[in-house]
Amino acid sequence: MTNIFTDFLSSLSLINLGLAFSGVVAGIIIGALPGLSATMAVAILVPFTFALEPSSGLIVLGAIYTGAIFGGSWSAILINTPGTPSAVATTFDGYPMAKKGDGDLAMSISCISSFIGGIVGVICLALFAPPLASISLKFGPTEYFWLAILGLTLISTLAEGDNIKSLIGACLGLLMSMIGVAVIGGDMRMTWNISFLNSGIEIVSAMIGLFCIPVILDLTSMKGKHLSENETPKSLRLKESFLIVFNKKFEALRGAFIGTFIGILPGAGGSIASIVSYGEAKRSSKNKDNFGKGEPEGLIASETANNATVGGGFIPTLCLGIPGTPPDAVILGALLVQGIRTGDTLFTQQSSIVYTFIFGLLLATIMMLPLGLLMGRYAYKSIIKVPREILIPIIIFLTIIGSYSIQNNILNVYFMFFFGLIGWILNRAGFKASPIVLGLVLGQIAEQGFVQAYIIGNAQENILANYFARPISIVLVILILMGLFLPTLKKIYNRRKNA
Amino acid sequence: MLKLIKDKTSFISGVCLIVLCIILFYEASTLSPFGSVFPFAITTALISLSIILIFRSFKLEIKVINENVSSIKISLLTITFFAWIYFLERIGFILTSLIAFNLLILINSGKKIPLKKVILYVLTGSIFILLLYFGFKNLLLVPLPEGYWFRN
Repeated sequence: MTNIFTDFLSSLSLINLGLAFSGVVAGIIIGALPGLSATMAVAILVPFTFALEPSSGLIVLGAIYTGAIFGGSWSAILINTPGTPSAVATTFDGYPMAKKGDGDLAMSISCISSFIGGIVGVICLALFAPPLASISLKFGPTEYFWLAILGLTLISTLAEGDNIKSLIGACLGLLMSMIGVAVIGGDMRMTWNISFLNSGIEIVSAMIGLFCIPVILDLTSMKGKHLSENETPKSLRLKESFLIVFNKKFEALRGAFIGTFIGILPGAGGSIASIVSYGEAKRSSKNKDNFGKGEPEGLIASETANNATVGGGFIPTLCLGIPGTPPDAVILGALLVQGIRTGDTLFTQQSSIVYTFIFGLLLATIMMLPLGLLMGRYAYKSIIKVPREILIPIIIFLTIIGSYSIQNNILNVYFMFFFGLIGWILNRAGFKASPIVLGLVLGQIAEQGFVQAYIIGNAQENILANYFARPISIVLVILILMGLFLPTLKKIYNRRKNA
Repeated sequence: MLKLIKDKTSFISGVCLIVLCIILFYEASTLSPFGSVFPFAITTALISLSIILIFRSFKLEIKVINENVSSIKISLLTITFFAWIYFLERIGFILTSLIAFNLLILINSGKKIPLKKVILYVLTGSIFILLLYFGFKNLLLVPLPEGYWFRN
């Protein structure tokens, strides 16, 4: 106990506080720019941390990661383009809120929710890391496959619009994820001898194109202001935001626990977490008809979950050496370079570094609240004041620089442009971008799980049992079926009841 | 036949998707068993969903709410956008961005905005580009293209 208290004091040193502060600010800015992901932010700064004490280096990396995941919600709310894939569900209600003139409220709610999610995730990391890590080992290929399918069916049935078209969009996303070298078998697929397709489609550039370009093209034709302004712009609306989140405290906590749990599963990440949390919020809400039209509850669900994956993702990273998310993988690399050995003994033999890091993460999350509220307010004010004539070139500029900087490759910019045009055409035909993007993000997880489960089932001479008879799989399949058919069955039931 | 279709967009989308699935099915048949199992599964699901979409298009129309588009502005914007990308590596990031950015301001300004304001936008935009260029190059260490037309 005394040791933990000493670690806590050590995390409060001036240098660590300064590092956490600058890490959060840098993370928020990077996360808010479409194309610049948390992974990139963390990766750029890894070499700089080698000169620091191991715990200080880890604190700055954790702070950047925390800030970047939250920052992703800004562009999702203000320009309908998720800064990171984990903010896809934030666009569902965040952007409609901004369009209605509640952008400042959405920004504040997103910050408070991210704070709650982040705190719950870090507390779970500090208190229950070793037992929770063992849960992730119970997830085999079949479970990963069904988890990815659950994410896809949920997004298809939850996103505003036509469910069949959303499911088709999810399938199109899955097909796009297959372009390039097959994850198992190594076949070159759907490249049609075009060499630049060999490495597959870069997810972030496709995401920027699919979300951003339809917005740009619609803004070009739009008359009037791009975002409505609130009638009382001088009010901070902080009290209102806190009150909204406080009234939805159980929903916020549920989102945070969902995020932490999904964060524990290596590879699943914030995109599935926020979708599952959003789905659960919609299912249990009294205002389910308002979801997708600017319902703060949807925003709370998405943002608590994606920030909770930060703490959750560190659980398998620190306890098992299996990174939960891509930024965790980069941080794991930094840990190894610093001579820290991950595993069961980490919390006992090198506890001082680990607990200083956890307390640093907690500090960064706490700092994120005032910083995010303050910076978010200015970001919203600036976006709303920028005339459309200049906002459109700025967004285009950010899409180009963002997609170029992913791999410093012009082909990603062409991909972004191409997918943007396709996205705009599909959007006008009623196909939404979010299921396509999630299909693309989850494609590899789904395929790897599907094929590995097929191989295992084949070896056991019972393929179907391997897909459908495992306990966790059964639960996931039931959830998928509920997600697919419950809304339709409810509609039929209500129609009959009224008739 | 066409008169029976209530939702033409869905019908056309469904037909196009089935054609795409046939091509992908053929493509998947040339792959190894491990490489083809997932494409087969997904194309089967996509075909089933497309058939449902086609059948549904005869029964009901689900309207897609779309705002009216200004085709001239969209065409000009798309051409400028593409030209921006095309010339990015050829004449360099700064020059291409400055030209394309300001061209886009002019396209979106129309006739209603006074010249003074347009000049202000152009100046603001140029400063923004230069700031971000140096930020990306020096802080984030992203090597933005300098233009191979100007290299020796």
